[in-house]
Parts: sequence; C-alpha cells; structure tokens
Amino acid sequence: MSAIEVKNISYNKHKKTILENINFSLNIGDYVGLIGPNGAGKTTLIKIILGLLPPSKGSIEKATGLTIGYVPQSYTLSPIIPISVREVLKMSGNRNLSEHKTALQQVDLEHSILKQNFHHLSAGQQQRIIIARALCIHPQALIFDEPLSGIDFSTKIKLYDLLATLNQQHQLTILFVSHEVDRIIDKCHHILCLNKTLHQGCHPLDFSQGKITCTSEHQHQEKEANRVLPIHHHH
Amino acid sequence: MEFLQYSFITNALMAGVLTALSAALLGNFMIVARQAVMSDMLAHAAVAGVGLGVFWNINPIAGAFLTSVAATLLLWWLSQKKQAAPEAISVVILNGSLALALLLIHIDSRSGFSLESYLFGSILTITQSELYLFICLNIFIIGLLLFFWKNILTLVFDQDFLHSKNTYKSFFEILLMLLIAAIVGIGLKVIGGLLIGAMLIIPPLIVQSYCSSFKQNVIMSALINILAVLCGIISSFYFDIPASSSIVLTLILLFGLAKIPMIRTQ
Repeated sequence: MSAIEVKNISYNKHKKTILENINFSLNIGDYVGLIGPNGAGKTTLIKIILGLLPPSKGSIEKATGLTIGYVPQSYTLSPIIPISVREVLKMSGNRNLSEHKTALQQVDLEHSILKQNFHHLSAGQQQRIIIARALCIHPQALIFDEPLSGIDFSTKIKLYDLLATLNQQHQLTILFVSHEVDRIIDKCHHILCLNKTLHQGCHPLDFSQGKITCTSEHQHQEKEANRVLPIHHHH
Repeated sequence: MEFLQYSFITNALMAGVLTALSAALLGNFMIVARQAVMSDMLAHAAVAGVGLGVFWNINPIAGAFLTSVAATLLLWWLSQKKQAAPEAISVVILNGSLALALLLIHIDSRSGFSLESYLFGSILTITQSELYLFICLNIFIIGLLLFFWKNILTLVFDQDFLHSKNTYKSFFEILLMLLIAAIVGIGLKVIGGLLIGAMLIIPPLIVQSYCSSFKQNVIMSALINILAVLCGIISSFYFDIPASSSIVLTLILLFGLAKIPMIRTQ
C-alpha cells in the first residue's frame, strides 16, 4: 500500500526550474534513499512533500491519517543559551514523560540524558535526540535530511543501523535524503537519484560520481516501468 | 528601609521589578533568535515615537509604542522580501529613527522638551498612571510568553521544525517582535532607550554557563535582573546617582564575575 505518492511535481522559482516532473511513491515500510548533489532540489522536494511549499505543478497524495516525522538538515540549535534534552523533546508537542523515555529507548539513549544540556552532548547523541523528537509525534513515516557535516564516519554508520532497525521493527516508512551515496546504499531498499528531475535507469553509484547524464527521453520511457529503482550491486 | 515611605520609590520598585522580570524572559528568546540587536533598533524607533508624541501633542510613551510597532512590522516585511539581512535593515531603521526624533524635537523646540529622560530613563519620576500602564503591559508580556512558551521556544531554536508541524510560523515571529516592542516602550521610562538592551541581553548571558535548561536560565536571569534593579534604585536613593547607570553597571559587574572563572578554566 502506498503511504506517499508524488505525482508530476514541478517547481519553478524566479523563472528557474528547480524540480521537473517528479514521480514516485513510497510504500508503507519502505526505506528509500534520495540522493543528489547540492542544489539538486532535495530540500525543496521535501518541503513540498511536507506541505510547506506549494508545487508549481502536480500533487502529493498521502494515505489518510498519515503522520510524517521530519528531521531537518540543520538542527544546530543555537548554543548560547542552554536547553535541556527534555525541552527539545517537548517541542514535538508531546509532553508525556514516559513517551519521551520510550522515544529515547528507541534511539538507544539513557533516560538520564533528559536533564542534560543538549549543547553539551556529542553530535551523534544530538542527532539521535532530534530523531527521538520526531518519533514523539508517533509518525508512520520519517523524512530524514542528512546534515552536511559535523558527524564522523562511525557515528554515521550507527545512525544508518538505527534507522534500519526502526524501519524493520516498527514498520516505519523512511525517506533518507543525502548528498552522497556513501553507505546508505547497503541499507535502503531503493535509491532515488535527483538532479532537478529523477534520473531513473542509472546506477546510484555512477550517478553520485557524476558519470551519468540521463536525458529526459530516458525519463519518459522509464516512467511507466518502475516506481523506484531497485539496487543491483554491480562489480 | 526609610526609602519605602516615598511613593516615587515604591512606584519605581514595582515598575522596575516587573520590567526586570519580563525583560529577562524575553531576552532569553531574543538571544537564541539572534535578535539581540533588535532591541536597540526598536529603542531608537521608540525615541522617534517620543518625538512624534511631542509633535502631535500626545503621550510620548503612546507615540513610542506606535513607532516601535511600526518599525517591527517594517523590519519583518523587509526581511521577508529579502532586501537585506535583518541586522542591516535594523541599522537603517535605527539611524533613520534617531534622525527623525532629532528633527521633530527641533521643530517643536518651543515646548522645551528634553529627550534625555527617554534616552537614559527616569525610573524615579514614574507617575501613578504610568505605573498602572506598565503593570498591565508587563502582565500582558509575561502572560503571552507563558501561554505560547513551547511554540516560541521551537520558533527561536528550530524554525524548520515548527514550520514542519504546520504551525503558523509568521504569527509567532510577529508576536515575538511585538512583545519586544512592548518591553522597549516600557524600558524607555524605566531605564532609557539607549540602555534597555542591557536589561534584555546581559542577564541571560550571566547565568548561561551555570544552567542546563532553558527554563532554569530564564528563572536565574530574572532573579539577577531583579537584583540589579533593586541595587540600582536603592543606590540611586542613597548616593544620588542615576538609577539606570547603576542598574547597568551592576549587571556588567555580575557579568564580569560570572565570566572570569569560565574564561580561566578554558
């Protein structure tokens, strides 16, 4: 069953095309990666899916009652004034302490962290808390916009594992947005390659290395064939 | 405690303590929202309003509210239009306002009006009716902040997240700016347009390294602000020095004392 369906989305700003004719659907329980270089329109697409930005053309269809959790790319909360982890979780609108504890458990953090100053935690812990905050609204789908920097490699791997666990154990539909293929390729069921338009029929690794320039003719041929590209590991 | 028998002192204490409380509350949000400079911009706009009040023969404080609200909306609108960075727009409005204030008061020079009490405050000359106005405004500011606490907190720390929850982001942006305009209007008389920034920004910075939550920081900075206002008014009574100056100098002293151990351990 499809959770989110993106239909013919185009978006223009200042007469420039940011997104052109985007089509795909996310099924319940999917773990999909969305990759593309800087300026490919990833954040714009997320905003359109979340309903924060009206598309120039096309529509978004969501399953009735679907709640989407959102982990923004820049969550670097201003560090000058302290804020406790509990206060960060309360931003979700959910004030229930036991649910906060459950959310922390899901992201593999101790309850004792609730009283600590968010700014004094490591980047990896902070990111887990931001995911916990998204989980506090009991989402069926999660959109995760990967931060550009500040997270080391081993922390990244742990995070990918965490999201995969959430996906498997809680049937959480995940759209993982990243500027590089990196390691998400091992975890995701599918990868979408975005650069203004969805480049289907090319391999994500080639796409991320800039080897592929798909034409729009490819697009139309592929459009009917495949909702998202399954990954074939090639050697 | 002989000073308590004078009504001008009790008026000053009541207005001062309440203003200290709401200034500390708002200041915390302003620092996180990177709007520390905005208080200065609004204070200068308010001074232009005082000039306008004198020119139109209306209450200077009412004129101050009018122009600081107008400046708030102008700043918000221009930042939305992305004509320049908000702090750059603030500097334009700040200087324009001060020039306008000078001009208006020059034109109306026959009234012999002095801007000084609005630039540097005159907490000891607060009248009974001004006191009532300040009490109402402070309760209004504190009440709205407490009521919308979670949303404003989310706005200043993480706009994207507030936006993603489909909450009316612009509403809270404008609300926060209007509350700042209100505190600046009160601040003109209590501590002066040129010094109100100190009451908003310094207390949260004094306690910031010693607290681990936002709530704690707000409570501690409010206590520090109230302490500074009490010191200011009492020393002004006994040593005959300007209250505004001793309030700000007390805050600066506490700031130094709080930061020295932090800097040494770095």
